[in-house]
Amino acid sequence: MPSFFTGWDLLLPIVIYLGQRRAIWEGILIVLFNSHLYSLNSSAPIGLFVCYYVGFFFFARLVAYIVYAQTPPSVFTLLFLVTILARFVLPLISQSFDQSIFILSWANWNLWNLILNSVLGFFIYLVLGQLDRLTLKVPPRSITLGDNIL
Amino acid sequence: MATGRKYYLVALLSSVTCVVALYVYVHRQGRTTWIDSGIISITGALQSGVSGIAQGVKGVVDHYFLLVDAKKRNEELESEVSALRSKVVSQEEILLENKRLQEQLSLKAKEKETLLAAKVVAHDVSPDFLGIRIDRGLSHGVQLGMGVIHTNGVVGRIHRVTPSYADVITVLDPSSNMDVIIQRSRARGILSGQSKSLTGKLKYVDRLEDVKVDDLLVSTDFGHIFPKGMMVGTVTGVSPNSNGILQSISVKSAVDIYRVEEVFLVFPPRQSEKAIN
Repeated sequence: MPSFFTGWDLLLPIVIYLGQRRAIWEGILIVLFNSHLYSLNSSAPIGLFVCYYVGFFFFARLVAYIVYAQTPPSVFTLLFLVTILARFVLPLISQSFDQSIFILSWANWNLWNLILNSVLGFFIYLVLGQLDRLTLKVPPRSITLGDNIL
Repeated sequence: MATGRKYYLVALLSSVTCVVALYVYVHRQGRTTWIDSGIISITGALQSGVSGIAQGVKGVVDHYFLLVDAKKRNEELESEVSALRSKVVSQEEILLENKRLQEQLSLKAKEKETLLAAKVVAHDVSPDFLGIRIDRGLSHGVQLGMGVIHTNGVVGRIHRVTPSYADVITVLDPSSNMDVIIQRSRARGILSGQSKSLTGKLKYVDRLEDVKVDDLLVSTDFGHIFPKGMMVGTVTGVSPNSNGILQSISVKSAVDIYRVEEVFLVFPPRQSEKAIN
């Protein structure tokens, strides 16, 4: 099957969004539940994806203190860098669960997958942003930055 | 205020670490709690429904829209069937001869495994792992570690069971290790999966062993998990390892994991009666 149908990680942009835009206590509960759900639908050892996504949640939280991704270029750059970082982090975490995912395997560095995940993640990020605006979780327009895109 | 926030963060991080550690401990070695079983039942039912709809749409497309080359393909298959028929006849002859000779040597007839058909309802959500979910569970007699096969060859083993569904680790999954032998030379090795590449690696094969490209890998009957001699894969590449003792062998699986729709669970001889009941 082509990698187009198999290389998606839809949860990662959601986790990054929660890490950037939500309170820690609220985000961590959603991330813990979703990553457990993800684990139950995967053959990976339970706990691997929980460590992976919780780690990225806190990473996104820390990044939010430096870069608050709000404009489309900053969101896309953040997601592209996270997608690349994820290729290193998952094999490293998987080593502690006795899994043999090789960091330097060419299959891990499929450029098409990196771009696809970044673009898909970008759109998920946009949709979540719009959803927050529709539910009035955030103000419909940013007062400080004027007519913002997200 | 800043100190209070710092303490709050440290407390939160510690709590999350403890929760995750406890959670990993509880779930070690494929154990599932009643909450997990409940979640898997819900997601399994959803996946089963989606899978059914997808199969229906695929069936319509395959049977009504993609029949352009059906006649030509039918002729090819007919000629293949006739060739295979003659092979089957000669193999039946060998089988009868083998049986006759065994009787003469007074060997005890080997107990047979029982198979139970199952439908694949979902594939792994992660692109880095290659598991599948089937619609058979504890209520059908499925147990942890049971073998799963397909008409083309070995698929994998059960690694998580709930009352209605079971999860299978396929032979190409990074956490899979399976004892196999090369059919031609009878060399033994361990087949391990590799992430994403859809190929496996045959490990611990001495460099002096006779292994060639296109050699067939078959299952052994260690632990009575799979029927002996079941096709597992084909050797696609052989090269000497850098340390000079072993060979580096890549293997292509006999079963295309992403296309498999129905599988069979292998009940060991002792459990066969229970499965039938």
